[in-house]
Formats: sequence, structure tokens, C-alpha cells
Amino acid sequence: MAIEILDVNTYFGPTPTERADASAQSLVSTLQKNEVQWCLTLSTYGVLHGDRAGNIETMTACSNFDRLIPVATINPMDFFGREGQVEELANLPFEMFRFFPHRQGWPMSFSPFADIVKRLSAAKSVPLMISVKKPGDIGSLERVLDGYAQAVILAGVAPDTLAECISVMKNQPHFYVETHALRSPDALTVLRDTIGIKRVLFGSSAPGESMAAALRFVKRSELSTDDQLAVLGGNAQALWHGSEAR
Amino acid sequence: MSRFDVFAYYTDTALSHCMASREQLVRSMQKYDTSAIALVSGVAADCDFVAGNQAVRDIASTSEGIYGLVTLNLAYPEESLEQQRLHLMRREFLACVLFGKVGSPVTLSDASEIVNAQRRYAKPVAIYAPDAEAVHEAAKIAAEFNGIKFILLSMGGDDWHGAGTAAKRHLNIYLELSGSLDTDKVSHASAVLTARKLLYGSALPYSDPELVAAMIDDASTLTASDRSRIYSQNAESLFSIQADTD
Repeated sequence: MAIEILDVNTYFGPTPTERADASAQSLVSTLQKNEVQWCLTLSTYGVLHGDRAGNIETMTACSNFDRLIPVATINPMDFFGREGQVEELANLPFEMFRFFPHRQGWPMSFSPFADIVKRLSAAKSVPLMISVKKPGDIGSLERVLDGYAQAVILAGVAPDTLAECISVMKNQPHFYVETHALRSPDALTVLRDTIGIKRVLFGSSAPGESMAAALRFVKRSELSTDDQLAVLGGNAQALWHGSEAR
Repeated sequence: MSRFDVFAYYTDTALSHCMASREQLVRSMQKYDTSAIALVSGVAADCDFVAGNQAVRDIASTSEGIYGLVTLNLAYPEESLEQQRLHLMRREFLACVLFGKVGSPVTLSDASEIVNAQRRYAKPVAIYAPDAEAVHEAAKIAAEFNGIKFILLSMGGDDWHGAGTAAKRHLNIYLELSGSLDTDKVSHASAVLTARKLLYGSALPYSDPELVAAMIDDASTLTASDRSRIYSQNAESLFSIQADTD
């Protein structure tokens, strides 16, 4: 059976420094060009400007384009503990929640982030994706997310954070890793041999970063064809049981 | 399309062993369609430039397309001048390469003596330029020594726009494409500079060559002729080694 490719890490919308045309339509064109069937995505407004406006933008775009699966975000620096705020968002059909500590300038140990995670845990069964960057991030995240039982996807794991990623993932079977920043030609086989290929998910960080490069990194790797298909879509389908039914 | 990789390390790493020995190097060249490669010693870049340069010299072979870049150390100007004398008259060494001190870029004041001495060998100077500051300083060096050709390795990383601007202003600057995987990087750089100033490089084993290759292949504004130039012809011309690779 052919596996549909699902990119777990995309965005759309303007950024202050990157390409001019990063509209949702442009993202769909990028998916079509690269023969990627689905992507989880969110508006840059939610990351860079305001999460409320961004989440509305994301829902609107995803209702206009079938290939786009909506992702919500909350900026913990703007989270003042209002009752019901997380729960209201959790009631909307978002398939994942994303957090951007480095882009928004808050530490992994940030107390409002822990509050949000706690409320999300009670409100909705949904994966989280968190961007990591520096050595130490993933260990800090593990401590903050102690008790969170849903899937946690680490975005941006690079060669200098891969050892820590593996160390934590060996103890946290609900942690997953996304591929776009792995870069080393042996990173995928090391992950396969340590934490298993089933917890590796294809991501590109498109349209800012090249989806073609991210795809070729997996397709030309030394993984078996079955393992490549698992990374490109099978693992994501297993994680989000509903994605095939969209 | 056969590739001339102008920037790869001869080194063993904990994550990847694909460039750790002559046999593994040859295997990697075959795997990535590489007909010629310019090696920087990982030992030389990290700590011991004298021993590292010798290690590259020991495995270099012009008939097999295995070339070297002589690593020079700004903190050891006398020894660096000696390394230039020792290696740069040899056909298997194509250029010298400069790395900044830890946490700081290669500056004009630090590099003047070494770059001045490079003139007598009539070979380019490669400068590792992973960020905007490094590009800015490299541009000053290129302006001061306008009779020497410079290669900016990693072309500024995420600040690749600045590298394009510097290369447009200083005609003696060439850009090596490893570094950022931004979707628009190759198209933008070729539009600003023409494809003649761009060089394919991988940064193996720290980065998978297929990442850069995918960006070149995916850049819709490039012609087949442009790609041929970027993959090999520009390097052959810059290093004056057409006869060797033929």
C-alpha cells in the first residue's frame, strides 16, 4: 500500500526576514510540486504577532485548502491564566499544539508553559510539538513535561542535540523527533538503531527551508524502503489515526 | 550530474564515519556522484593544523580527484607561512582555508600577513563564514586583496543574503553553498550574481550532500547549464584543473 507523505513541520504567512510569498496557497503549491499529500501547519501570525489572531488565520487557511491540517499555538508570555482560554482552543479541531520558546524568548522551564501543558493534558488528547535548539533544551523539556502522557514531538533536533534527544527518548516512549535539522548523513540510521524508526517523523520547516532537500534527505538515506515510508508518512498516520480519514 | 565538492572534511566523527578513512572517502565520493573533492582536515580545523594538513596530503590524489585545502591558523602566523610554503606549490592543494578563532570571525588585521603571502601561490583563499559577521569581515579582506579570489564557505549561514551582497560588490568573492537550507537561497544568489560565482560544497560528514544537491536541482530559475557550472565547471575553472578532471 502506498504511503501518503505527511510533513509535520510547515508554516505559512509573512516573516520579517524570509521569502515574500509564503502564503497558504504557496505552501499548497510547494506540497504539490514535491508530491507531499498533507502537512500540519500554522500561521506565522500566531508565532510572531499574537496567538489568537494566528490561530484564527490557521483555521481559515486550513478550511480553504484540504491538504493543510491545522496546528494551534499559544505564546506562554501572553498567557495570563484566564480560565477557559486553553480549553476553548482545545475544543477547536486542531490536530497539534506547537510552542516556540527560542523564537519567542522564553525558557523551557517557564512556569506559564507548564500551566498550559497541564491544562491541555486535562482538556484534549493531542500531540505537542516544541522547537529545541540548544544542548540542555530537551532535558529541561523532559522535566517540564513530566506526567504529560500524550505524544511530544521534538522539532529542530540537530547533530549537536541528537545525543541528548536519544538519551531522553529512551526514557520517554511518547517522545518523537522531527527530521528537518538532522542533516548528518548517518543521523537517521543512528535513530533507527537507538530509539527505533517508528518515532521519527518527516518535517521540512517549509516554505522557508527547502522541502525538496528535506525529502531527499530521507529518500536517499540508507534506511530501507519500508523505514523511509514509515518516516515519510506511516509513523504520522499511526500517531494521528484520523489523518487518513480526512 | 557529476559533482566537484569544494568543501568537505576529512575526519571521523562520533555520528558519522563516512569520511574517516581513504576507503570511506572513496565510497562516499561514489555514493554522491562526486568526481572531485576538496578536503579540509577535521584535525586541522579543530586543533592541530600541521598534522591535519599532512594527513590530507597523504591521501590526496589528483588522478582520483582527491584534493586538499591547506588549513592555516591565525594564531600561528609563522607556522602558517611555513604550511603555505610546504603545501601550496603542490597540485593536490587547491587553496588555503582560514577559520576564525573560537567565537569570532576571520578579520583583516588577523589575516593580512597570511593572505598577503598567499599571492605568490596564485591560489584562492577559502574563509569559513557561517554568519553575517564573518561575511562582513571576509568582505573587508576581499576588498583589501582584490587580486586574490576568495571562497566564502557556508556563504553566511542563515545570513546568506549578506553573502550575496558582498559577492556582488566584490568580484573576487565566490560563494560555497553549504550552510542554510533556505528555499530561495540558490535562486536568489544566482539571480544576484549569476551561477558563475556559486560553488557546490557539502560540508560532509556534518551535512548530507543531498541537501545542497536538492536545493540546486529544485531551483526553478536555473538552467541545465547553470547547474553544470555550479556542480563542477566553476570549481574546475577557479582551481584551473580542467585537465585533471577530464
